[in-house]
Amino acid sequence: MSTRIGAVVAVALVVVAAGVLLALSDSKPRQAGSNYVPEVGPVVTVRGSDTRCQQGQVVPADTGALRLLVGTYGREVPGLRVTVRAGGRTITSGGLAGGPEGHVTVPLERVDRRVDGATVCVKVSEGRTARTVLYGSGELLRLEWLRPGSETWLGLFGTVAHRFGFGRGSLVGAWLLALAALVLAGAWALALRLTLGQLRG
Amino acid sequence: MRRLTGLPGRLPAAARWCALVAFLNAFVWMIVTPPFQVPDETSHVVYIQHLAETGKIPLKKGGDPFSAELHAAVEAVHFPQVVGRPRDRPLLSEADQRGVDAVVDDPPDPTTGSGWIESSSQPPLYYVAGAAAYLVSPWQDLLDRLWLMRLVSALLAAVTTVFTFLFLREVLSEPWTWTVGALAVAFQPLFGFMSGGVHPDTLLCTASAALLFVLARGFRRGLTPRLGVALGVVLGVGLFAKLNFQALLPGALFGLALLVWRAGPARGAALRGAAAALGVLVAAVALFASVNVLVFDRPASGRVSGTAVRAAGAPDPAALAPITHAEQLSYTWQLYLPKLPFMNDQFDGYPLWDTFYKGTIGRFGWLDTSFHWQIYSLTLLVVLPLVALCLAALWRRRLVVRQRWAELLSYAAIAAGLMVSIGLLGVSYRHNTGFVFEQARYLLPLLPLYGAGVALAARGAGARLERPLAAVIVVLAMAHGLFAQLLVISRFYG
Repeated sequence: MSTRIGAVVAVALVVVAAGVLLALSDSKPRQAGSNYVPEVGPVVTVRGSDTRCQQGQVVPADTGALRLLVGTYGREVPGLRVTVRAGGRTITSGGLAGGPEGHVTVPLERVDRRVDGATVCVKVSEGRTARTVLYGSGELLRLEWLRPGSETWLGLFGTVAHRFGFGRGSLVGAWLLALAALVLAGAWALALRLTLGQLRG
Repeated sequence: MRRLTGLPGRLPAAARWCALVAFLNAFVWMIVTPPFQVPDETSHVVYIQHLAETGKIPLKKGGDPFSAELHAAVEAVHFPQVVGRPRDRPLLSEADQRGVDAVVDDPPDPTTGSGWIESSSQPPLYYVAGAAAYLVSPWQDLLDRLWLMRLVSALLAAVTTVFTFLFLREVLSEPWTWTVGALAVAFQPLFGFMSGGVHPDTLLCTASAALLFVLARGFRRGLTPRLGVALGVVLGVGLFAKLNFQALLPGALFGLALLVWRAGPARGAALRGAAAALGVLVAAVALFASVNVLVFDRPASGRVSGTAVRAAGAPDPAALAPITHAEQLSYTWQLYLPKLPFMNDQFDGYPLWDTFYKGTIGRFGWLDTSFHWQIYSLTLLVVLPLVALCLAALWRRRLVVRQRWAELLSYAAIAAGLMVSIGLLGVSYRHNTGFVFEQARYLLPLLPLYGAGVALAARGAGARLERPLAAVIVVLAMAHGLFAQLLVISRFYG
């Protein structure tokens, strides 16, 4: 019986490990940051072509794309061109031609370091006089900055550990995530030892 | 006192290990969850900080409850920008951290907040413990003190798990089931998440688990004067823990009455036990009222109505219309059961599924962090067979169940009291504010029954398979907790 229970636990742990690995291998575009503006409603309705600029923005480090919510009343999203300028020079830019309405991701040239006080301009290029709506709250568009490409959680581990160490008072550092993992591993080891002892006894 | 200090040593070793596991798991939740991202944590921090700094409860009508330091701390960690917005992250860079460092290095005035807040009506026991942690902290800033305040909750998780273990020891015959049930509770994600934050629900859970244990012991071994005193103390602690504990009182008193009624030849001792329990309870109520009036300058009940405060500011005609008994009944019924033909629709969806099931599987932060919707459906593939196995175990033991009807009825009365109170509070809250009140965490006082259900499910597999299944259940409970922690990490730091 005791061998059988040990084997059952081993198999269950392998299944859990496989599940964790599967979850951590999920590859998607990951966020670099945002301007914390919620998507409450339409901020600007553009008829035909126009440019909307937003000043005083923070572009986070490792930015490689900008996600916007765009409404077109069922049409294809028109051409979008995003330009980010700070200190009199262009920091990054990129464009998108078409696609379904909703959340759209405009690829940008990579920004390695955080840039403060940037002006972000979104240019809508629509040949006709059709309406294009950009969303946010009040007067501000929501700007959601994404890291370049797609990443798995495993690939993002260093970044997550880095972020994990912020905002905790004096105890700062990526080691906090390692501490959490160690403590949890201890709890698991204790629980398994106790369970096996009880079930075999 | 010697008896009290020697208590941990007299506990079964397995109970102590389960407690340590629960503490470590809550400790992980404490680290994983960013500051203030446990529901209502800000309002409980307000209470503790004000109590620690001034010795008073924040009660001033119309005043700002947040101290200058708390204002600065929540701004520094981007709490207002992140709460309720699962697509936004709190802190992403060293520049963000510099804002936190400024608050930590030179904290603003911690004494300025004094205004009424939702937690102002709550009894003081949990907050006194939190204030003690706040005051003994070697750090003098709020964000660092928050660690120690959260540590109080993590320690309470350990005590709750011990009482769960002891409860299971009274109600189930196989020793391994006590460990399996207690570990299922220790790793339950919602319990762990709440135990990693500053929240009086943790003490409420401890008192509720202790109540169920004492009652179970009474039904197993008879009500004695000593057990009566213990019951009275537990009820007193519960009353001093959170107002919601009052919902458990009718069921507890019903259980006490059944204990006396079924005592048989030992009725004299049982009556003395009941008298002791009621005596301690009455003393606790008197103390509670006195402390409220004499120390904290609020009504004897402790209740300072938020509605009254709101009404003083901006009267809402809809809030002034009375709630009918039919509406209360309909609302409470539909909270847990399908609507009957003569009832009005009270909810858009099915609260049993949307609120309680999904919440128990896992919904974190200020209810803004959920698993993918398909995960909740997939978990049914595990949960439904376990429920079926639990029912099968009860069916196989139906003779024992019949013999122990009074005990089970007492637990059912306690659970019913809690569930009805959630309904009554919910309809009133929605009436007054327009917002939804119910959350799965309000059922956490029934954790020992959850533990018993899990352990019984293992037994439902039959003699040959029950132990392997029990091992699988423990691993599942651990995995459930781990995936919940990964979800929270991905939401706040991913």
